[in-house]
Amino acid sequence: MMETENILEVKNIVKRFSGVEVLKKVSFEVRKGEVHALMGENGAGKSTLIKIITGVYPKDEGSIIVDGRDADINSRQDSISQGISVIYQELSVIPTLTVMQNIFLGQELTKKGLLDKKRMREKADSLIKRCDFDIRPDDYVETLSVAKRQMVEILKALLYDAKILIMDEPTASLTDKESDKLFNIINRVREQGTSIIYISHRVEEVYRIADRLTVLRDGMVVGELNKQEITHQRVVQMMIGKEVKEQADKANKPIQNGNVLSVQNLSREGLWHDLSFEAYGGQILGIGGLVGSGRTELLRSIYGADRYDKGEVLFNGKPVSRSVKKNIRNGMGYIPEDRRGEGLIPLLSVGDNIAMPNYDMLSNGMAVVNHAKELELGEEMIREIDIRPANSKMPVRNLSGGNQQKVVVGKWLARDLKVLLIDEPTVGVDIGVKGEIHQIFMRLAQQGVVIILVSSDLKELIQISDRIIVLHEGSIFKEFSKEEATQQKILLAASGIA
Amino acid sequence: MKKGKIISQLKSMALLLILIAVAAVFEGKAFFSFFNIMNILLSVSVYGIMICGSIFPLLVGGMDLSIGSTAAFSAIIGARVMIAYEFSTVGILAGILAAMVTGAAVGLINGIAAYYFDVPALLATISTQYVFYALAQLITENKTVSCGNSDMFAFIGSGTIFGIPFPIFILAFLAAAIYFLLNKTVFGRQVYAVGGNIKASRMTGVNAGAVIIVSYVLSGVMAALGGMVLTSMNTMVKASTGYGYELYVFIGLMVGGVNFAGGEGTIQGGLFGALLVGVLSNVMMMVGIDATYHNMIQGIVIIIAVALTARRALINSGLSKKAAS
Repeated sequence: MMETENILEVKNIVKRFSGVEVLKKVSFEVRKGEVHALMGENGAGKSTLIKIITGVYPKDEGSIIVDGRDADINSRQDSISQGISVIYQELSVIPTLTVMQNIFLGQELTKKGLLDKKRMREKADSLIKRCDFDIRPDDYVETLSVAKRQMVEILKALLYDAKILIMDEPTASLTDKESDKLFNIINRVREQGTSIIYISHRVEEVYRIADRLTVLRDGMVVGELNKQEITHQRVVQMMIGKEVKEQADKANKPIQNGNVLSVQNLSREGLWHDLSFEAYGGQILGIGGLVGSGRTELLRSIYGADRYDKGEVLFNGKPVSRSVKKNIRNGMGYIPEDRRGEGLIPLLSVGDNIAMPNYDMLSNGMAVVNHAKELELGEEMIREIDIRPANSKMPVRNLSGGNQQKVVVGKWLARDLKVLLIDEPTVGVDIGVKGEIHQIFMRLAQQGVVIILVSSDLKELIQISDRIIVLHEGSIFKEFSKEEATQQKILLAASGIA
Repeated sequence: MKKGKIISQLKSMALLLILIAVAAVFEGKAFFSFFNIMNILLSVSVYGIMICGSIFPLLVGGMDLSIGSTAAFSAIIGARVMIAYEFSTVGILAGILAAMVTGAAVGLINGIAAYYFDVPALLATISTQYVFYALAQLITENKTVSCGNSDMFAFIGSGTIFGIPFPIFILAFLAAAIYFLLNKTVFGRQVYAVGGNIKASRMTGVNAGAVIIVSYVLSGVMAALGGMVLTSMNTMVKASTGYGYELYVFIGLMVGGVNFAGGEGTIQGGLFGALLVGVLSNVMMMVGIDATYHNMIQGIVIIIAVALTARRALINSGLSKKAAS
């Protein structure tokens, strides 16, 4: 190990929002050239801390020392000039511009007042070479994958001479393969001497790339671990503050109520051909496959939100409608992949979001809303699945990712559900809430609901599915029972290998 | 969140109070007279009626710029029907109904263009604005249609009950109905939902297309009603009746804090915005500011008012970040 000099020291930071302390004397250090993971559940204070370091929020107490000097950070600009860059979960690259234009945005090189494209291209080229990235300065960003777009963000940060690069949940929207690539990228950036603060929920990946990690809980630092001390169990325990029980194995067999959803010879140009399978009440059917294998479209087609060319979907022998509205009336529910884009109406309150599919029960003949019932439903769901903060009037955009997802799940729980279609239910959700959401699904299955789950999180897929089918190139490549399934087997099947 | 909203509402309110204070200092007695207050309300009543409709396309994330010529075109049709029935009671009712149906039809066209043909709402409704202005010119041969021969019809725009002008009653009734529609019905919930996130609304079984089209239809119907009231006030109607009203209506909605990106805003806010602009004109007149300066001052005050409401969005987003962390 090199000398342990710190590039960043955060000392006794205190932050209050309307009198409530959300950060309680937080201190941690980041060494030169290390990847330092910052972990914690939603609401632990990670985002607030980062916003203070980057000058978005003013701090109430404490100090920030960059490279040995007291850094007076009061604005985003201050933090940039101190060499601190952030890459947020939602990337800020502009798709319609080229890589080079994006990198130099706001700091274009000029010659006699005109753009000096030659020098910019040279500089971009040399940066790309230095990092050994697989992109070209003149590629349009809209043609790049998410992982490559992240490269662009990183290049932008490096151009600002970032000494510290903060990455907020960078793998949230990446596939496993893309994540692997990102880790290589991070390693290369680290080799350039830049320190990285890596924020994540995913213990597995932190385990792989972090040199050290700091865990926050309830606005306090609960511990710091070196690479060799990091274990899954230990990190999780620090994050949630209590011993996690291994998921209860489903000894209590669910009721078989004879409900069956059967998909017959479903075909859609370019996606799947003659796809047939059955899902049974009381079971969770997992669907594995690579991103782009048509799993999301499959769920949407069953739900009535997407069209298919040929084939049939039957529930207990009767054809399922192609209208979302009718399917909801008949007991179907859908939890979409894109929580903010399709699952929630961010401006509306928790209560209104939960009420959305339920107005058939909350109004007289779909006209006048029974406000008392509406409020009651919101309150009931908040209590039942522990949505925090417990305020049905709060706009959902103010909730953390995990609690937002609970709202998406909660809106279906009041209904007499027969079929629930679930797409990537725990992306960006912290580990505690993830467990709670799994419990809800398993409980529903035990009540006889037909559940179809699509997930790229193989652990999740194996953990809660009773049966798993794996799609490859538009048809079912393999089927596994719960006992047979392993992450490796599913991955191999998804790639069409074995 | 709540706090930010209240603060900024207070700011707009404060602006109104400042205006009133100015009036009180200079022309207190005249300003606070029953006559003057009725005058202000009457001056904003037609705008208010139109706001009751125009708020819907905005809430679902679109906008209806065609209300000016929708009002004129519908009122011309209505006037023709009334003239044909020689302003009999049935004839007047039939005329109003005909105007509303015409307004609804224009709204339907706007809605279909905006939703099914994916024409940006701004463009679609500017186009229909032109088309129906031209149609109105065509069917009137560019002449005014006189409606001055009926006391009964004149009552709609010029009559009073207990000294209160009748259009104020019409506005109050419509505002109450729209408040009910937006706040107490499933349709109201769906309007906010579609404007807030159309994809998510669809995923919960909302027929977003129907909600959007009905929104434009409501806008057309209210524009037609506004046009009829205006016709009655002026005892005539022509193609340019209602010309430029859309701007005043949108200023009211904007000052009143209706989010032009959709999903956020209240009818009481929109009407308050219109009132603010109405009070401003009135105060300027009372205090005796030269008419030349009216537009300039109006422009400046509107920017201030909108900035105060826009500030709300800023406060909100700031708070929401804090709340989320």
